[in-house]
Amino acid sequence: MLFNSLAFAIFLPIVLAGYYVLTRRGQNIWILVASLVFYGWWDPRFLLLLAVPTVIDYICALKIRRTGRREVRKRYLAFSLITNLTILGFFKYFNFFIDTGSQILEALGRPHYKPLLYIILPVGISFYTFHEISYVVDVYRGELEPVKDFSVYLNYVLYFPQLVAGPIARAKYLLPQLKEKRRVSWNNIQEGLLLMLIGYFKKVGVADVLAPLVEVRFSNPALCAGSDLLFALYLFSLQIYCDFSGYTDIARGVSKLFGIELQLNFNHPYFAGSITDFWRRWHISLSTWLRDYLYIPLGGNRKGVWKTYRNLMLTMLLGGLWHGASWTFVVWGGLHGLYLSIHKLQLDRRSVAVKLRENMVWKYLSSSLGVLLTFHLVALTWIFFRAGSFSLAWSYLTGIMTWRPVTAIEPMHWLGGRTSILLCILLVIEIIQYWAKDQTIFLRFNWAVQGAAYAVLIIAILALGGVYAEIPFIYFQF
Amino acid sequence: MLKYLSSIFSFRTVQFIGRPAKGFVRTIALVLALVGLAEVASRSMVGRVGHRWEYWDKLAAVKFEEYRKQVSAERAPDIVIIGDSTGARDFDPLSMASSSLQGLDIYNLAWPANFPLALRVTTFPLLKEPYRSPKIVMVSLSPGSFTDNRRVKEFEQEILASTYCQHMLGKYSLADRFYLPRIRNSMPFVIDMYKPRSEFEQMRQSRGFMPAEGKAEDYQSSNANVSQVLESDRFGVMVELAQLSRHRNFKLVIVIPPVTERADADTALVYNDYLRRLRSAQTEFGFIILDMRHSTFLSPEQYTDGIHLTREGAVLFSKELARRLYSL
Repeated sequence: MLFNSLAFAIFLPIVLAGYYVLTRRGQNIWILVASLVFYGWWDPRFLLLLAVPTVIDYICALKIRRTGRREVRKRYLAFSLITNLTILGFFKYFNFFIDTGSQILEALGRPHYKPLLYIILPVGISFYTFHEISYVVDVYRGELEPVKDFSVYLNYVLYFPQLVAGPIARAKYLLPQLKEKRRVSWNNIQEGLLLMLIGYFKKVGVADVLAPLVEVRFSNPALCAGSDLLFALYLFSLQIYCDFSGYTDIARGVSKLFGIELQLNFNHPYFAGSITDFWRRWHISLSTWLRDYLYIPLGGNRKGVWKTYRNLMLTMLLGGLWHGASWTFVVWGGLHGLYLSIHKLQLDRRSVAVKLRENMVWKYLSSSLGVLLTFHLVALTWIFFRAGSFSLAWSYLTGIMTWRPVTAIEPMHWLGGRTSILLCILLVIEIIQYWAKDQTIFLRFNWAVQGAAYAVLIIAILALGGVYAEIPFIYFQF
Repeated sequence: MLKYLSSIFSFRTVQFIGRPAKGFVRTIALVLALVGLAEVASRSMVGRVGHRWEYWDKLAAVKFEEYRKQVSAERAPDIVIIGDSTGARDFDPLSMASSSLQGLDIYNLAWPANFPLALRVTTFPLLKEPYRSPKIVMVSLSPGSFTDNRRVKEFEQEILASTYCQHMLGKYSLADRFYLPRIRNSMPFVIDMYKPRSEFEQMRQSRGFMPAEGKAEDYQSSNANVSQVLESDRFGVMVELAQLSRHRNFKLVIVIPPVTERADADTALVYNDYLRRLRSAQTEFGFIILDMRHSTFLSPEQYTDGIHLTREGAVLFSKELARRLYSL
């Protein structure tokens, strides 16, 4: 079920109505049923697939806690990890590995048989796999008590607002909320509704409007002018941000209506002054997951300079592969790894720069330049993220630098009135939230200003947004 | 209240913590009032636009709705041209009617990228009841539009994704209940009611002809990068059209559009397959095939990109077509 579908518009009020009249245990069962319906809406068979690692992880976590022997604990952890990663590997990466192996054998001139399987990718498999792994690892590390109540555990895994595209909620954060008695505060309801409205504006109002403009250019870069491709790249940068952060806003907003807080996942990433800052603001739940469960276990920055860079690169390469079974995603991750390494190197050698930054003018200039540079570096990586293949990515990249006076696809010399209005509204929202360091700052405004602002947002979504297309969120494919 | 504590029901949850923030209710009321007002204003403004806002392009709305108006109220045109860009750009109804087919009412209902699967949704309903049927339907489709080609599907999808096609396929959404989402697409038609737009007027006066603007250019080899295998599902649309022609009693003329020598060489395989299948179906349905692919009376300068004609080329081609049709 999509957040931007008619089905969800009917589903949510029913679930909320039931939720508000139940006790805590009743609420958990009710949410569990709702989550099963929400996820099974795509394909009920996916529920069976989800059940296997869920049950195994629940049992493994309890066994890890009960046994004192390190070897046995390790065995249970390994069993859980292998189960999760095998399922993920088969459903997401089987054909990718077969294709890659086949290409290598072809290059070596070896005759081979290439098995072909049509595998349906279960929605949100990457998200819930990481979600479950973090639970078992935390229990293994002794940082978390395993939950005994199976219904609470099931809710932790299946909780529908975050199930398919995150945020990848940590057990330490979510489980206590599911165990406790819940009451819904008016403040939560206001914040939830506001976040949902902003999320819908970002998704339906902006991302879905930009999607067709971007799609036609990324599919046919050879038919576009260079300036047009550059412009479309900026638009895709905004599209993917609005699509994913819009989803997160809706997820957090819906969750607040149930009295459950989900962690912040996006904190105005395009205002980041450096690439390191960008990763503190973009998909925070994934970047912190990668840091805690991959980068630090690999040694982090504790084993010397070169190993730090190696760990950074490995983490980002795997982070790229997590996004999709394609080498283009690996390159996307690799580029980010490279950026992070260069930035780290620069941080280590900037004693001169520190002196310069004491000057206010220089400070302002350098931070503005930093934001601009970071945005462009990130935008460059989006080419590999968005293009379906290397040939398309290369064609896009070279196309930006090619002068084509006559093109088959008419260039967007200027944005139409519709897109300009929507982007202006987005910019106002982003700037206000950024300066106030508060995503729900609008609740502090006078009621009349709030009312007018929300009405403008709703009218903008309905009159200018892509309301006729229920376009799935981009991150659902991961 | 206490008796519910032992059950799963508890009305305590609805006793929300705290009170609504000052102004919360007023805010909600103001939002509802403003959005409601905007909705009412939209209804009064775009109510007269009819279905035109649903189309994938405003000129398509003019073209198709103009035709719908005619076949709903008056007599249908004698000849209707349907199909993709080759039909829209190469067939000039006024040139045809001013030459051998003098006195006949001809209308061009073809649209760029209106490839077989889109054609079935956009155009077939207008050839069915309750609308009046034309005497002759001429269909012009590039043979490449019948292949399993990504670009063909993408362009076709742009039409199929339109609200018009979605409604034709019986798919409705929550947004259909409101008029606010219609306002953006409706505005050109609202303005047209008060101050007629020249492009709309031109479309009406030219009877749907959409000449390719531009000079002769080199043939784009990207046009040739198509699969050379015809898809049966796509060709099945032609069979459906032939069946419709029997049912509605109109004569079906299938025109194979002209191309330059280079384009011909690039797409020869798919053309041969298309022609073979057409001839096979012809024995059953008895439609007419006008193979204009190798139109030697057209010079390379009369093509814009190897598969479409310039305005001058279209006039020449239309007159020749009218002559051939008359001789039949």
